[in-house]
Amino acid sequence: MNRNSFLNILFLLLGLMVITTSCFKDLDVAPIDPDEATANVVYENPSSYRQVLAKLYAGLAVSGQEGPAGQPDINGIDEGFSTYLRQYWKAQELSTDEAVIAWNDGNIHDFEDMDWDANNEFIRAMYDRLYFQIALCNEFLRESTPEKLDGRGQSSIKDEVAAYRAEARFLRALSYWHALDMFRNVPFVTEDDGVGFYQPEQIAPTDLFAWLENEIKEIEPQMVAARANEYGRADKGALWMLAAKLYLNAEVYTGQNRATDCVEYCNKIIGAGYGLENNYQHLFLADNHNSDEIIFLCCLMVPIPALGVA
Amino acid sequence: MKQLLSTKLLLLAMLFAPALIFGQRVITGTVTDAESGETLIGANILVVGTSTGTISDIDGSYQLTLPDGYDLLSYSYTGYATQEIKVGASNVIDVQLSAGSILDEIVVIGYGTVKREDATGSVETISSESFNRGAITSTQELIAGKVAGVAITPSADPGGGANIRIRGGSSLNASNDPLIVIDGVPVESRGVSGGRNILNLVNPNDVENVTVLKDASATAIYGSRASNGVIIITTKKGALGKKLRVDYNGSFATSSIQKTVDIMTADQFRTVVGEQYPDQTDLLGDANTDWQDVIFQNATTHDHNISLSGGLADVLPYRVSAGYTNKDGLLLNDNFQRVTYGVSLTPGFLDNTLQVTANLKGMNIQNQFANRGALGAAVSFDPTQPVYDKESPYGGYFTFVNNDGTPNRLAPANPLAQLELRDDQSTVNRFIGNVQLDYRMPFLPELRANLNVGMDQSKGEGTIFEPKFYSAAFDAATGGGTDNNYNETITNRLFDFYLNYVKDFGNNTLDLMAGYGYQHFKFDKEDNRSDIDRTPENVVQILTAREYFLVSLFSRANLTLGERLLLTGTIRRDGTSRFSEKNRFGIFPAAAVAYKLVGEKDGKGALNSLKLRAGWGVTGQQDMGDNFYPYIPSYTISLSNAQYQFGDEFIPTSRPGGYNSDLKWEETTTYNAAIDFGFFNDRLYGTFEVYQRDTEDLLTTTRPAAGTNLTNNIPANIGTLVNKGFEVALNIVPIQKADMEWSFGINMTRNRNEITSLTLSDDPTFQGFETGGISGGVGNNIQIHSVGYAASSFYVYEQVYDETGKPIEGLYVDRNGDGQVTPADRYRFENPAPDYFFGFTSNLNVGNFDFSFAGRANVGNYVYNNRFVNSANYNSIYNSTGFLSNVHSDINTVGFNVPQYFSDYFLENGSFLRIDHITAGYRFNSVFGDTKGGDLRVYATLQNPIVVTKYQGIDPEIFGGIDNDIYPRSRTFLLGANLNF
Repeated sequence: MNRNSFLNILFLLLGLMVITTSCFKDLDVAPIDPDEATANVVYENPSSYRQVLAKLYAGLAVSGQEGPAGQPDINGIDEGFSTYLRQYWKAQELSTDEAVIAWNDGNIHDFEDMDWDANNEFIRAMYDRLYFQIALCNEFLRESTPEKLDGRGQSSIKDEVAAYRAEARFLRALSYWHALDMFRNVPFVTEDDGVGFYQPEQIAPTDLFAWLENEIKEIEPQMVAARANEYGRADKGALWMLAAKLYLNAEVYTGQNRATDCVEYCNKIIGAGYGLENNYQHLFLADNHNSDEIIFLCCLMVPIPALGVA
Repeated sequence: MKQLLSTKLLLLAMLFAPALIFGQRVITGTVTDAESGETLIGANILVVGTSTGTISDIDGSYQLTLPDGYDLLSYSYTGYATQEIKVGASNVIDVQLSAGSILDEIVVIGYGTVKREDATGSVETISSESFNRGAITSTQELIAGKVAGVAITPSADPGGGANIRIRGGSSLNASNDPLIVIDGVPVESRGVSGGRNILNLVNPNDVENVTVLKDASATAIYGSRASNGVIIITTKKGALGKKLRVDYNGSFATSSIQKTVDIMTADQFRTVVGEQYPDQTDLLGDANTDWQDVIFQNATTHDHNISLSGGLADVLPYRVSAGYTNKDGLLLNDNFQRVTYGVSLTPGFLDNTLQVTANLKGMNIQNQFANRGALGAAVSFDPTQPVYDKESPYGGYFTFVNNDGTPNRLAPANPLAQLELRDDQSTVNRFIGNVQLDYRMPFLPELRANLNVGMDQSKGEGTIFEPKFYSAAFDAATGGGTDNNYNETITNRLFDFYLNYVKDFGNNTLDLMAGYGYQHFKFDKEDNRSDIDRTPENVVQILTAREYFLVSLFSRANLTLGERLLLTGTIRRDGTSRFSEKNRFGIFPAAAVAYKLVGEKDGKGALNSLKLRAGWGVTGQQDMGDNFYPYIPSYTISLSNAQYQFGDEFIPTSRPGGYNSDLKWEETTTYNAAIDFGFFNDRLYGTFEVYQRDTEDLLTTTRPAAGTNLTNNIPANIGTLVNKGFEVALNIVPIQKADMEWSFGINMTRNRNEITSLTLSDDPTFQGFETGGISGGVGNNIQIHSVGYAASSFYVYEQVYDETGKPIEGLYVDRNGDGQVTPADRYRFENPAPDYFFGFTSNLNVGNFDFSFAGRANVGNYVYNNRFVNSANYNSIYNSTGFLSNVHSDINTVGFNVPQYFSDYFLENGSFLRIDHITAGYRFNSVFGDTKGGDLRVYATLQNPIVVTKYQGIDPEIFGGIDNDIYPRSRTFLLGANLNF
């Protein structure tokens, strides 16, 4: 091999190195889908905070991002079966004599046969829904801190977002209460735990109860006054209802009777002007937004039917 | 990227430029077979007395620089007599060698070729002579049953693809499809919307050969995508020094259905309704309709292909081809029309130091899709009802209606209406173009540089239209009907470059290769759904865009020591955009050794060749289907149908998605050992091979611990599985005479798959991941991935029978002995993959007459007869909304009232023996007269004539093992003619 050919090869190899290193940069990708964006990009837009809050509420009602099916929130079960409210209703009602589903859908009959276990997909879906909701709330609380808003130059929307944060904490408390009520000593994660793969700490029922109690007390002053928030969003009335329900069964959760506290919160609700409908059917009519009985509602799709949840 | 590519080309051109100014005595020529005139690839050309030499390229041409003072060249090719030629005045020396043994073929391996005898890995090539025959539109089908270890399940719909598994599946949730490389372009395994088969592009008539790389020492050069094997498709090329050759191949075929589901006739149904539902006999009609007869047709196929090939002006070898296929499906209104075209140019420049291969392949497909829903509807639709009803407002088809006259949505829609009123069409256009430059350095002839630039683009567009009066699309409120359209473009760009250095040192040869590969895949899709009147709440548009990149560095060393010992080492470093920066790169090494105990040098004993091979290698997997950004925290905005109301405003919601920043490559380690042998001058040759493939860090869709991620379902590297087995391939030539030759090949594969772990921590209560959705109920699964069992094992209850052998409804064995039958008593029983599978081929030529057949067999594959479950129970006869449904003829032997989805009674052994085709042909020589030539072969093929099985459904060969209204395979009779001149 003469000097010339050696130089040629060297030249070739050098050229190759230049080409290849430039292409390795292409491996750094970001979503190019029009409906998808990275967290950083999303929160640059001030209206995103309201859109994410809407998802926290929608988490109780819709099954995914496409409607009526497609891009589901949770997997492992038929998407139509997977909504929060539907699962909650099934778990609460089918396990009693009040309702029966006769279809042969998966292991649905375990509810009626009273022999469900952790492998039952409906129980799983309920559990996954609760924690999907909790994880969403945690994510929002992480991304909407005053410090982060300042950092993004969005200090002007701080007050508005503060109210959103209180509602996110309310929604998280609601799901934790469902978890406490249905599963008892459950995993416990807050916005201080990141997103990833790790084993969360389990929390004792008494500790979760105390946390919920504290959470309710902390956010109460930050919530919008009862019956004063816009349609679809939670207010103090909803928070009081949650507190009343938590205290009502406190003895089951902690061994300590808290009926007095339950009465106290119920009185707050009554004092705020809520009242029972004379005709039960009116609750289910299209103008039920005028009802005094609905404390917190969960809007199901189009503005026609609304359904109370808490 | 486009700009980057052209910059690269320019840069390379500049790099080559200095090399072009050298000028020495360069000898060129072509090495061909003396008898057939075929070019010989890989022939050795050596300057006698030196170590300077070269090998002939893919066109048989070679080029060599003659050192001063030497003038004798030696031409050798394994199995051919070596010739020595003295160089005269001419610089062009064409050589013809006399043919020899069968093992000398050249096989294509990744980024290069190797003589079959020198292959160290598990590599098998099927050439066009051995392909399956019949009305074949998919390239996959050409090699079904031909290669040990490769299970191919062809689909039955016209133009449909096939599922390919090489030595079992190495993944659970990631792709188990092999990598497919078409003329040097690895293609994306996802098909475009509106397409039927990713390989529709390749016209089977244009395929020269198909090479399958099975073990990691062969596939590791494709690294990250090679865990499930590699299939390399090489298309036909033109050759220099040949006059124009025209090939025409045309065929006409007619197909008919072999077997339909065994349901009751109208009269039998009347009897059973009378017995079971005496109060509902009013619902019976007066007609006698065989609905399966109504929806199926005798299908015709015709296929025409023409190709022109040759060498233009002794510089430009070319092949130009065009094909047209029109194939009907057995299901009414199912049609596939395809036009393919291909151009291949393989010129040499600069005294053949620069070999250019330019390929352009294109296709246009028009699909008319039949509504598959008709398959199930035809089985269950009441046979006493007529097809048409003049009074019916639903297109004049008999329709079950409610009291108010609206269609009964719980009843199936009229099967014929499903086929005739749903218009589902698509057009798919695709082309693959690539240019490969192979340049042999004049200053260093042992060194070659190879550049491959390619692009593969598919565009699918389709429309689905259903009129308002179609009962299944009826909607009183909004007008109903369907007016959907969609389009998708998939673009794949490729840039490969490698250097290859081959040097002989006495008896030893060193072959080094190092290269770089870049591929970009982009998917753009638009999906528009609407009813006919474009009612706002029914109008949805979904736009999606996705992309991913793969960037790789690879190298391989082949060392041949003393013509006996062969060593191969490869290493590939792959980067994917699917993983985060810290886990993005994977290193995939492989090594193999082979020793030729008996080779061509060892005289001609009874045992004429014997080679031992052993290989080890690691390959990767990153293909998780549509999950392109699994590690990136991202938010998805909801579509108009999933907004949420605050006040008077409807707000699109923004959902944070789950992600796993720790995601990394799934890795499969393969061990392979083999014996290749040949007896009696290769009249009997074959291979015995054992292998084990251990996959770890499985890309498993798993549940993150509660609350720790923004989803309940995310890919993570969890679990391990193993595939082990052995393969035997035998080829026998019992008769080999001048006017008569008979060859017979058979292969057998044993593969066992077992999941060895599935969770991060040992959780004894964890049963596994359910899979295998069935028809019946919502969300019911019949299979499970569990530790200690094969993937997708059936997960069922053990049926209890009465003393007459009849199953007792709802009574199962309490397997765990806790005194009650609960879901915990389900057990894992068998799986859809066969324990053993076989393929066999026979070719007989007597004079101008040829006769061949080929077939396959599976042993121990189990099938869940979902169709039987759903139509073997009395309750499904009568629906309280006022209609009847047909049931299986064997309903009385089962006697269930309610479907028992999870009873092992409905699992059947699907072992089968199938003859894929029987073909007979006759060749007329020189049909245009003795001087003008023109060979005409006419042939007839009977495709799929015989299936031997105990399975009671219509066909036991079902990928995935769940028989749920499958598209029936046809029996086809084909007449064809092949003319070349």
